[in-house]
Amino acid sequence: MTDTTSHNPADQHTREHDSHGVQGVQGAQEQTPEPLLEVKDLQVQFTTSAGTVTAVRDSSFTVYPGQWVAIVGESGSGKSTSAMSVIGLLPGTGRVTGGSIRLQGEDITHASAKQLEQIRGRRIGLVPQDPMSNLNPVWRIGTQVKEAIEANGMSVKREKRSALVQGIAGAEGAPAGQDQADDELFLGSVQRPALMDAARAAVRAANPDATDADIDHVMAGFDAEWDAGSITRGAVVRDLAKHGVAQADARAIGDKYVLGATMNDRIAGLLTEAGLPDAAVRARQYPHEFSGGMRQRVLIAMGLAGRPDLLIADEPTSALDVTVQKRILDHLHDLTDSLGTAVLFITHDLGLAAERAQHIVVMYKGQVVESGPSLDVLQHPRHPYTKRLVAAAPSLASQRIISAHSRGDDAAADASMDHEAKDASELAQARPVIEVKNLVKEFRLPRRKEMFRAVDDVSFTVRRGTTCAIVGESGSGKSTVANMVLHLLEPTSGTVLYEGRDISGFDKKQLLEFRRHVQPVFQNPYGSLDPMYSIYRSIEEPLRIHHIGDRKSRLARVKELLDMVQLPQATMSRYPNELSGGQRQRIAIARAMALNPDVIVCDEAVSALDVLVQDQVLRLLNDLQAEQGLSYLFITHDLAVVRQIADDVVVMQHGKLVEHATTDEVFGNPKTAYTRALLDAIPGGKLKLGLD
Amino acid sequence: MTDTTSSQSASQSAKAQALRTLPGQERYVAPADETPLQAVDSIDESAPATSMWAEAWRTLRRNPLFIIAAVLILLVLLVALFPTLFTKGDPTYCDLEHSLDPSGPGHPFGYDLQGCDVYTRTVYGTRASLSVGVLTTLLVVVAGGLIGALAGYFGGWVDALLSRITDIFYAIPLLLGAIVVLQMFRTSESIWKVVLVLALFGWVSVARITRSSVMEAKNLEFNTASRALGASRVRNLFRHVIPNSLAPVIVVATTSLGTYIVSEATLSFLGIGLPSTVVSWGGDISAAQNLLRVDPAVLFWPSLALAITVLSFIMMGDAVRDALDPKSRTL
Amino acid sequence: MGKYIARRILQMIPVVIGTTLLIYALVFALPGDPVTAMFGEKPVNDAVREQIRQEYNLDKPFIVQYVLFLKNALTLNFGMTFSGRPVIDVIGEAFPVTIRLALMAFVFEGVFGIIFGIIAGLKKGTWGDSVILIVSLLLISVPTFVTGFVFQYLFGVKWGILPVTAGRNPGFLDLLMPACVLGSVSMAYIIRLTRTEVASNKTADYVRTARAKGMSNRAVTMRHILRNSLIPVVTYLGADLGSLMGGAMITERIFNIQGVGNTLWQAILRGEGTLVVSIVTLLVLVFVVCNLIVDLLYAVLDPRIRYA
Repeated sequence: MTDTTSHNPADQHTREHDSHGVQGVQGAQEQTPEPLLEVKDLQVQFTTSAGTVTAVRDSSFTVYPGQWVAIVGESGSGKSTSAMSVIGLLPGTGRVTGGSIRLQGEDITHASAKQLEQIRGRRIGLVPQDPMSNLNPVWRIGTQVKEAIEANGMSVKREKRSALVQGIAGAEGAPAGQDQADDELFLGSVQRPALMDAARAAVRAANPDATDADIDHVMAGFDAEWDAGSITRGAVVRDLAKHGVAQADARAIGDKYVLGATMNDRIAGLLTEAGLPDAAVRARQYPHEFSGGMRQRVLIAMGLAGRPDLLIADEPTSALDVTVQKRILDHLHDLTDSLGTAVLFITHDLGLAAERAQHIVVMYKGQVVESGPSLDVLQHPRHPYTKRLVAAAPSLASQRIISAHSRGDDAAADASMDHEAKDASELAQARPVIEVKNLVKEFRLPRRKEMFRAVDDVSFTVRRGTTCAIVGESGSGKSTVANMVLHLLEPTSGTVLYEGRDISGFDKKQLLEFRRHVQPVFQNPYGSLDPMYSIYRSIEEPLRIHHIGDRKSRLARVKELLDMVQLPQATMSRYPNELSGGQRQRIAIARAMALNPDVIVCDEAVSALDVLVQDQVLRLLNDLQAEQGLSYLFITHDLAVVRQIADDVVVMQHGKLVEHATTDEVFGNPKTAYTRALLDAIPGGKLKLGLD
Repeated sequence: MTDTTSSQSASQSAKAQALRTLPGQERYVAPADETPLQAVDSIDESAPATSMWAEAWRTLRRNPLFIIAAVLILLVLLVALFPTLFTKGDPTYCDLEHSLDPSGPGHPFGYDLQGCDVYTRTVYGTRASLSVGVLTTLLVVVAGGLIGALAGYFGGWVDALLSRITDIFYAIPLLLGAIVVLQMFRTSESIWKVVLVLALFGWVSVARITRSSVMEAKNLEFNTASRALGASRVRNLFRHVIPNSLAPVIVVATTSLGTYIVSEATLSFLGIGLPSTVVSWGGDISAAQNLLRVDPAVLFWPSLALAITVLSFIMMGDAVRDALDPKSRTL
Repeated sequence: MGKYIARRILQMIPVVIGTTLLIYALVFALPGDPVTAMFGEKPVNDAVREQIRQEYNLDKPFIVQYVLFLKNALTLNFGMTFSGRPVIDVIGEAFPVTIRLALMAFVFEGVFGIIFGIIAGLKKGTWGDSVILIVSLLLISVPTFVTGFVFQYLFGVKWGILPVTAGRNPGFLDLLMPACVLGSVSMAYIIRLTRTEVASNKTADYVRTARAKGMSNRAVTMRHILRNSLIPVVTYLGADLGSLMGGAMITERIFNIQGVGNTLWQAILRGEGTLVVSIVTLLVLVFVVCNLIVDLLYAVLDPRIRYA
């Protein structure tokens, strides 16, 4: 499968509407299908030294063949645990202590190790979460795919169709008298050149009037579609027939050249299907030579290698950039659709879930709190937790804002958006507090001659009392800019001005003064606080470094700061390891606020947090800005968040500034294709919420 | 795959299904009171505050390995510091009359070839072995730790230089290096020669561990945060980086203390370790080696004392590692 | 890969130079008359003193002395022993015995260390694991020479299963017990290392993924858990071969094996500095070469290193 199917969601909608008219399908749908997976009253417990912990209780959900079902919840909600118990891969001491799991009617709740081996891979596949740790670093990619093929006894010669696809094909009436198994033979790479020649001749003969360019165009289509180890004889015959070749001739060509693939062809075919370019060459490489997105494609290929009826996709793209995420999910969607594979999609993003799945299961504290058809749940959330999630989801929030704006309903916009965007005149008046001019940063790569330009001629301003967001994907240079603004990195050329003064010219004393005014909040809530320091010492550290106040006044200040970030004063005596990610991030904000700065640089400060916690921290930042007149330089990869917080947006790609405008302008009228791609990739962005 | 017609059909069928509600997929809402909604990200104020060290201490206290090791180490320390509490005898008082006499009242381990009391000598041997172990470890941790920390923290040419020196010392096995040097100082009467030589060839392992530990600690975000707060590099090194890279060094130091004691005994066994005037386990074992067939007890008791001491330090090292780094738990 | 090998070999050169320089400096440049130091307490005849001074170029500047020493060492010209035999002959006689002993110990510690380590790692937390762990702790805590005496007493003297000592030209059976004693401490370390590696790899994400692919437990264990766990173990083993040769001294001494270690020990006893330095230099070179082989082996086993 290559990218011939459009990834435009709009197309998918059309397809959906078309389906109503297809008689055969309607006929097949009359009787109620058998559920593929039925989980009832599931209870999962872990044994720890402190006793038994119930991770999942009384949870039920059902998946039907060919369906996408999403489980949504924050970290620790039990969503992954529920999914893993289905294939018997619970970590550590976890075990199913109640309820039942039925796969195609068969009870597999307490399946033996042998039974589970039979189920895994060929009946239930898994696409795990972290592409970095889920491939064995010492085996070639191809070898790891091969293991998946061999473990499930998959034939490399012919395709295995799911019962669903076979059923539909049968209902449509497959050509009688043909041996269907032979139609599923794969094309081998050895025969492929000869097939292409024969196909060209046949198409030429069938279309005597066509120009050479037309034929070339058709052949280019074949070239892209006909991947060895992936395309089947039946498909080749159909493709030829579609371009005018007589059925008998097409069949003769198919019978002659499509004879089944070899193991290497099949490996390459599977990888190609998952969207990996140059699969045959790539299969000989090792995981460390792959980017995260490519590794995720390999994991998808492996998960689908056994042609399972159900694929568990455990946050398959959460570690990836949004545009890559979208491409991979689109691909996975097309792939599972064509194979008739059902998908149990685990995600923390409600918008993403609703966009991809027909049915949503919301989990909270180990329990299913709400489930139902995606749009219904999204539009009419009933459980208080779901309501809270819907209200906080940044992707949905930004959409709400857009629709409110398009109606000219400012009141609605204000209600749903926490951030009070300054109107244009106000913005224009605001003095710049940080000015970045033609900033360039080059790094020397190890054992390379040429320099790597991480930041290439970037200029923008942060106006006093406003928020400027830098948006970009990994490798865009946005964090490098932040570090230069913070004077943690020396720019190669260009200047950073703070209140009109070049910060690179600061002497030691001026620099210390500058540090009082410009403070950072970093990304990793687990790394930005010293685990050896109590919260009191962490917040007090800047006061101590700058010799501000005595013991007593510092204590008072720390208490005041904790109040400011809405944490109880008793938090003071605690240590970072006792706090959650969001709490640590609030401590980091308190520490940044200790010196009464003018500017706070937030480097992906909310990216690692759960939606609700993220929402809470964003609100806190907004409140602080309103009260104290702070200016923020907000670095993020998530455009949806930008909508909630920023006045101005700088879009960066490969170290270059792509677009710099006000938030409204960037969202309403994006100037460049890259910005549009980023906007498109916001999960749930295209959902029909019924808001307008 | 790539079977376009069936592909569309499958997707269509799935979507068609979505239009109807199938059994088991009806709209479900859990009763709100069943999972009461909690405040977002609230802090449990009832739990006691625990620092990383307090946490480690709590884990340690519950580890039987630690309890056994700690009791043994305390006992060994006590014997080394106050041998007179355990014996009234004089380890250097020997009477050939008693040569190889079996154990008797007041002399539980019997006598050796020279007619010295084995029990008394074993008790007094503790001090020499333990001193070598402790002093070597101290030297090694200070020297190796400093070199490793500098190399790791400053990187660049400092690291390159120090790492090459480390490589050179690493290429000489501890025992071989010690033999080369000690064979020239056989006449020296001090235990310091053994300590210095073991430290000279032993600092490398600590330096390597410290270097990688410091490199890891210095790349943590709180250092960047601290620098952005205005802290100087040196302040950062001492206030953040070193405290955060101590854990593996402590583990290695504890375990190596045991191995230095073994090395000292081995050197004494070869006759180039502690001078014969110092009462030591290694020396006594060496002296007793020819009595193996005649009277194994003379060999047995100092060996047992040595083994228990070393074992307790190695167990302590394991226990501390388990407490500080739960990932590499041994038991 | 070729580039990597070349780089590693180039990096080895300064280490070899530095190491030999260090040994040389320790023996000949420390305060005091090196000749006196070499002879220990024995009185030195002036003629001998003069001869040694010339032999070692002690009248020349230090760095020249060292370069000449290095040159001699590279041409295997190590001078004469007290009894007038060329040092290289003595070494040539002793080395094969030690190599045999070290290889046997190597096989012993490798086979049993890995097997017990795997068992303990896979069955972590069971009583079998505890037994293996306690035995390995004991082996580490008891010095080799004590283990040696105990084995000698039990197997040789008490039960008479194996020869108590090995004489000249020892055979397989003569060396069996010494090899086990020599390899015992390293075996214990290998058990601990293998155990930790297996236990941590068991819970690795890619192992779960392999299971999810439908692979059998056996295949997952062999291809994923063990393959990855054994990388550090194999490299430890490689490096240990070098230290086994050096560490054979104690074992050879106990079992009276006429190997390098025993020769070295006797040279120490006689105060024959020439022989001591020559042998130690050779052993260090063996150690360095073993470490180089380990580095290359690492690159073969772990693809991430190859391209780093």
